[in-house]
Amino acid sequence: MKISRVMSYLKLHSKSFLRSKSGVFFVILLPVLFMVIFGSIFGSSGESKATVAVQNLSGTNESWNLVKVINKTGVFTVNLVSPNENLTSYMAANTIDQGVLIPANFSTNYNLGVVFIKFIYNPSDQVSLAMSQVLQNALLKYYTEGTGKTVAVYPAALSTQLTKPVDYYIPGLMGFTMLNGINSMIYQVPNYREKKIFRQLSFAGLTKPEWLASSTIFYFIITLVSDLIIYLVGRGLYGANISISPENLLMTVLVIFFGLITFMSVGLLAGLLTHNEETASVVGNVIFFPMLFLSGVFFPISLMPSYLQTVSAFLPLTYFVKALNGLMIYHNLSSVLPSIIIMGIASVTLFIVSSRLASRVDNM
Amino acid sequence: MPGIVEVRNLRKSYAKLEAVKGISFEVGYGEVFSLLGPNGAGKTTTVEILEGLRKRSSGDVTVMGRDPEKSMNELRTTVGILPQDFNFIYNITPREALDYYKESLGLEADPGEVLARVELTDSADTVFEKLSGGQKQKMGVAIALLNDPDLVFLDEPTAGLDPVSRRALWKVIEDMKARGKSIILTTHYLDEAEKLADHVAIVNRGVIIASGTPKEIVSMHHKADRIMLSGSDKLQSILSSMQIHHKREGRYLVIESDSIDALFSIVERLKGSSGDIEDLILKRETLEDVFVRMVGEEAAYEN
Ligand SMILES: Nc1ncnc2c1ncn2[C@@H]1O[C@H](COP(=O)(O)OP(=O)(O)OP(=O)(O)O)[C@@H](O)[C@H]1O
Ligand SMILES: [Mg+2]
Repeated sequence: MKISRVMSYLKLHSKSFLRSKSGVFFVILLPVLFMVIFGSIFGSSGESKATVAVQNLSGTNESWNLVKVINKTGVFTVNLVSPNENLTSYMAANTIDQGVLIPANFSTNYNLGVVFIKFIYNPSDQVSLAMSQVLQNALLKYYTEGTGKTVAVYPAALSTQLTKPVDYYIPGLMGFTMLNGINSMIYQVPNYREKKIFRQLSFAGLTKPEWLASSTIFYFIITLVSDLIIYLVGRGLYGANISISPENLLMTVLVIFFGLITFMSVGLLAGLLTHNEETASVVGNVIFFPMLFLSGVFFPISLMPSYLQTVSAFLPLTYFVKALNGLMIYHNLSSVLPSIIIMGIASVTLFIVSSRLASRVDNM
Repeated sequence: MPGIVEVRNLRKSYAKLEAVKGISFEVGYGEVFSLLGPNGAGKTTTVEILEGLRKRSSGDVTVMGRDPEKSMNELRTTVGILPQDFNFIYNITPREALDYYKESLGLEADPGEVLARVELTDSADTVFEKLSGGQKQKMGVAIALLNDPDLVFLDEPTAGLDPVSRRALWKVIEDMKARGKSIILTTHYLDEAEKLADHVAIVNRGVIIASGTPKEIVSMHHKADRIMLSGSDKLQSILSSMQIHHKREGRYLVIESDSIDALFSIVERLKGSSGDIEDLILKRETLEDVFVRMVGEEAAYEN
């Protein structure tokens, strides 16, 4: 393995890649395009009025009066939640970022001169924070000026963060970008073989391990760039509630790497087995599309019918997307760590096996 | 001193087909060695074994004293290769390709100068798929020559080149030879071999059927120089009356002899009949004639 050869092939391949419109489209633009489409459909930034979920556990006249006050601010669309429901679950299910809980003992407090309510907000959402301020001010104005009561808004950050559909798309689309590993190899290998391009490149001393190392570096960088764009667009434009904590960052990058080399290996094996680009493209699609739709890229797997859930359990991408969800949405490293370790071992093994096989193939 | 390339009893089988059936030859330092042969003769197979691209079935092969199957990578900076059907990444330009080889091999070479030598400067920044067939070929030659190799393999380098480019490439090959480089040249063009090669091996069906300098081959396998005559109807009876053996080939009456002097004396004797002669062609047998005849005879013999 000689670094200078890895680098000069990297340079050559980058040029070729950036010049090929389809490559840039599929690897960088398509995931971002998906992000924009789904973000626009499910994102929260387009709403002019914020929805507030209001649950009245008291039911007294005074408490209903408070609901009216909230309504009158003109800032909120009140969404009444039945007292039998769990407010935070309801908010999660309906992707509402702010909630008001009027406690059962509201009137008792009220008669003692205190307007006490619980305001539930989503700390990672800027809009939600601002809304809590708006609500407090409105209540203060109404109650202190009009009735001389003390207002006590008890802020409660959502302990389990709310997930909006747009949140799912970020790890999902990051999973989608891993699938570029398949495309990186499945067309190139038969093409390089058919046209004897690898042989021609090898006249510069380039070996197959060097070629693979170079390709891995290239697609890893491209994938990280495209994931970063997805992350920034998702958060910045569509207010996705996801974040990667510094302590999870390395793990997230590792999961992306393992995913990439898994799918590069899959693409490499498929590319070695097919003898021309047309067959490769059919085989590629057969591998690609089920994973695209059944691995939690676009819809949470829990929403799928059970027989499809069974299928998804057999697709490797499922586990990478799950791991990213765990890291980015639930911030629960310990629960995903064992599976990340298994994925790491499996992906590295697969990569070694497939590259050994590629090295054995003579006429490439 | 052993040659820069040595081949002893080389054999190569593909599944059932034995493409090379015991070939031996030696290429001396500074020599242009040409492999001639019809399609499927086994030239590319032989050359690619020497380039370390294919495994031989048996026999001994050395290139610069090494076994190419094992240590080709150590020869990358001193050996240049133009494979038959040269191909490259479709959207990369000749200049970028040369930069790739230069950087990977750590060469001092000047890509611009090499591009100029093969007359590709004008298209140096055109992506491969947009180059013409001949320009693609030139790019392949440029890659083969970039490392200023001591030994260069050119598998049909002038295939697809126009006559001017062909001659330009001949010039490149002659220059290399003048600088003491060794060249193994595969070609279908016999004039090319005749002009450039110090040594020619004619390969047919996996065996060498003739070997030597172009002159040696012609004289060794020499059958006949010939006079070709056309003219009035009387010509035939004139020849018969002079008891000159002849045959008809189309509009020509052909007199063959293995001695050129005998032919000159026949021309002398025909002086008196010059009024009946329209064309008089004295033709020496070329390498091409020998080649076509030898390969043709082999085919006839097989059948
Ligand atoms: N990879 C291969 N697998 C199977 N058979 C092959 C392979 N390469 C060549 N052959 C066969 O070996 C024989 C010699 O082929 P080769 O390419 O060496 O001929 P050549 O002399 O270079 O011909 P040409 O002048 O057409 O280039 C042919 O019959 C060919 O079909
Ligand atoms: Mg050939």
